[in-house]
Amino acid sequence: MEYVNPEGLRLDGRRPLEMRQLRAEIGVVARADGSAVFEMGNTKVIAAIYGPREVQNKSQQINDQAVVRCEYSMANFSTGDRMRKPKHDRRSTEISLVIRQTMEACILTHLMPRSQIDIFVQVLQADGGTRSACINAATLALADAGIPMRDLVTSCAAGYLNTTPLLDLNYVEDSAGGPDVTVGILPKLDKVTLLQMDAKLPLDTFETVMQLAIEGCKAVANYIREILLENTKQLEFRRGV
Amino acid sequence: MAAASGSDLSSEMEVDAFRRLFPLHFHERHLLKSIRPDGRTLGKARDTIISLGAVTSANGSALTKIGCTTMLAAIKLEVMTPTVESPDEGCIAIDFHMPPICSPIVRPGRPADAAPVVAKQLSDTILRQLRYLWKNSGMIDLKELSLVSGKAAWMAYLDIYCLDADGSLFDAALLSAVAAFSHLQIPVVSLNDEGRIVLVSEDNGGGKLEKEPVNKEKRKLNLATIPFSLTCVLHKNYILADPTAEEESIMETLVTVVLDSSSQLVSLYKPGGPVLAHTSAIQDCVALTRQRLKELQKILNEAISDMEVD
Amino acid sequence: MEIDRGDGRKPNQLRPVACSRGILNRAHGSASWSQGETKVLAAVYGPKAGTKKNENPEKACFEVIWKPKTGQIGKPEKECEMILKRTLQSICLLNVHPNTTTSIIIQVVNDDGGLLPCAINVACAALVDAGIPLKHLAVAICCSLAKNGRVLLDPNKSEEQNMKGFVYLAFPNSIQSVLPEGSLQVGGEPVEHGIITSVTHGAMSVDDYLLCLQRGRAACEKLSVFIRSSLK
Repeated sequence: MEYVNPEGLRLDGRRPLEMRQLRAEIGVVARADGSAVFEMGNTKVIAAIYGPREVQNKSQQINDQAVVRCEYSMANFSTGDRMRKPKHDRRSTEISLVIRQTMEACILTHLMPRSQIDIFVQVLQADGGTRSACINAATLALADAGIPMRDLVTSCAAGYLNTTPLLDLNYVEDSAGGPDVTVGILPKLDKVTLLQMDAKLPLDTFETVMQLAIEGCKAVANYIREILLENTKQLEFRRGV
Repeated sequence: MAAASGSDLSSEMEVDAFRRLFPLHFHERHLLKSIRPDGRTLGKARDTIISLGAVTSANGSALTKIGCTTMLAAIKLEVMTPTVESPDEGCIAIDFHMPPICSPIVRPGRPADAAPVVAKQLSDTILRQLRYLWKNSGMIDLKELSLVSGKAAWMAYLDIYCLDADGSLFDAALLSAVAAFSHLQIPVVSLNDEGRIVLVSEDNGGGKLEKEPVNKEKRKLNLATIPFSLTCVLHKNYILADPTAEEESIMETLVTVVLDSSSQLVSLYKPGGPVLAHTSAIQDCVALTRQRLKELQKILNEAISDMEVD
Repeated sequence: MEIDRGDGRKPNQLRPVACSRGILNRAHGSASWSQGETKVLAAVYGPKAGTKKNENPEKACFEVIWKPKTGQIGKPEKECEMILKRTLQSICLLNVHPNTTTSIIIQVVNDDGGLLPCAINVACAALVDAGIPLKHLAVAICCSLAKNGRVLLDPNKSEEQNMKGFVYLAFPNSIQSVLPEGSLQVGGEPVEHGIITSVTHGAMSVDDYLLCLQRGRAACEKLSVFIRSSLK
């Protein structure tokens, strides 16, 4: 199948190095300590943070740092065919773990000993790149909750189809079977916290693809910063400072 | 605590502390003045928003907000073989989910206590409603979901996700379910050569003659009488419409009244609670629900007509 | 009056009711209740120290476990558990044993309609048997509305399915009070006319509901006399 046509356009009309439309909103769940919606094209996820709060399961308590927990779930109607899987399938367990470890790397857990931070992400619409969208939503929600972090974490995926590196794959491109490199970075510290790929790719191509994904992450980081700045200005305005 | 409605920051702290320490007193003080902490009068429901078509991957969907309580409902249609007992009827499955994002009380891994109860109430209200219509007024309903008698019918999966739980969950869930049903667009399908149902895509519909659509005209469900509900909290002699989660937890007696658009009582649900409901209270709740029904009908009709303009 | 019920009962006639207490010797309180073919057992254990999470430790807490006749517990049973829990919480004196949990186990022996009212009645009897402090008893009944608009009390399963709608109602029993008559009235109505629990199925007009209320109250008065005599 042709994923990039001779004019250099992808199936949804994007250029190979073009990202989908981003949209984010902070503070969507009133009862949560922090929350955000993040959209990448047709992929839409909602994240909520509860905590830092008392550890629910005392045996998990750590005396010198906070426990970070994460639950990822997909709405039954989020995919093309209705999902009929049980709630805790292997895929969502894996993604929960990935998100938890990625976020734990940037949260200053030692500042909140004997407490627990819950990150809940719910996919409302899935169109490829849910992992990245969840991480971006979780970053925004953590920032909204005022949880101390080393840096933002932003994530973006890139792939390689028809000998062209493609940024931010959608569902059709994702399921084409080609490589899918998901990268998460700390943009200010310029460090990589997440790198996942499960396919074969020559090393030099891999480097270009990964570089592309990192560029994507940086673009997401800029957008997230804008959103946070906007939100802070609004808060400032409401406080009447 | 004389200054229950102070304006400067220092007394506001005290009000907050008072609210947390003596929640019942805090609310009773407001009730004495016939007003509630969020500025509503006793019988007034919170602002309600319906937006249709919130989920593009579903056949029908709606997002509703009653105050902060947010529900996302979506319907997906699948083709199934109808049962032998009712060969010309489709089927509707309703599920209600409370993912842990909706409330600090819900723990991951352990489903919320309220979720199965609300799901059961919803299926009782909606399915019985449909069954009742079909039996009594001869209106087609589950039959409208039929495609080929005995061979194929639609199975409608309605999933409702609570994104933010701030009281009156059933009201918001029922409203989102009703809105999703009124937004439902049934896709055009046709029989292929092997007698199986296939979807007809929008653009090449007129091309092939032998693939005549099975359901050309049945693209929308007919909803003649639509149920609407209102939850009230009874406390002493006060009746508070549309309680928030805080009010529900402090004043424990809940009464949910469901009326349909022809003013029939579909459900009057009072699961225990320390306050006894006397006839007068029941009648007051029903009257409040009647008012609310008109409001909700208006909001729903506006949402539908807004969508049709788009 | 014309008899139009399958089992030859009059519209206001209940099925034969039987109640016995103290049938299980290991439980702190137990009772069985049968109404026609419907039969339910209840056992009460407690009060045990401590409350569950998310419960108010300043009050006594209740836990209802519903065991269906066969199979797994599903959504309808969960709903019954919740209704029963809230109903029992509203009739008990919660301040006497703060920070305790009382477990009530309901075992359905046979379901032939009107299951929830039977469960409420049997749970009350078991609580009395266990000596849990109560404000008053809850007396529950099922009223159904036939297609011709008639109210039939205590329908069995086959009747329930052919009705336009039915209502499960629970009222407080009539209190034999030392206070002068009329002092226990709320808005011109005696206390025992207040609804503790109401669950309806099927559509009906508001007037029909009020008619059901009225008939239900009358029946519950008789039922409450029966419960009082059987608990003595």
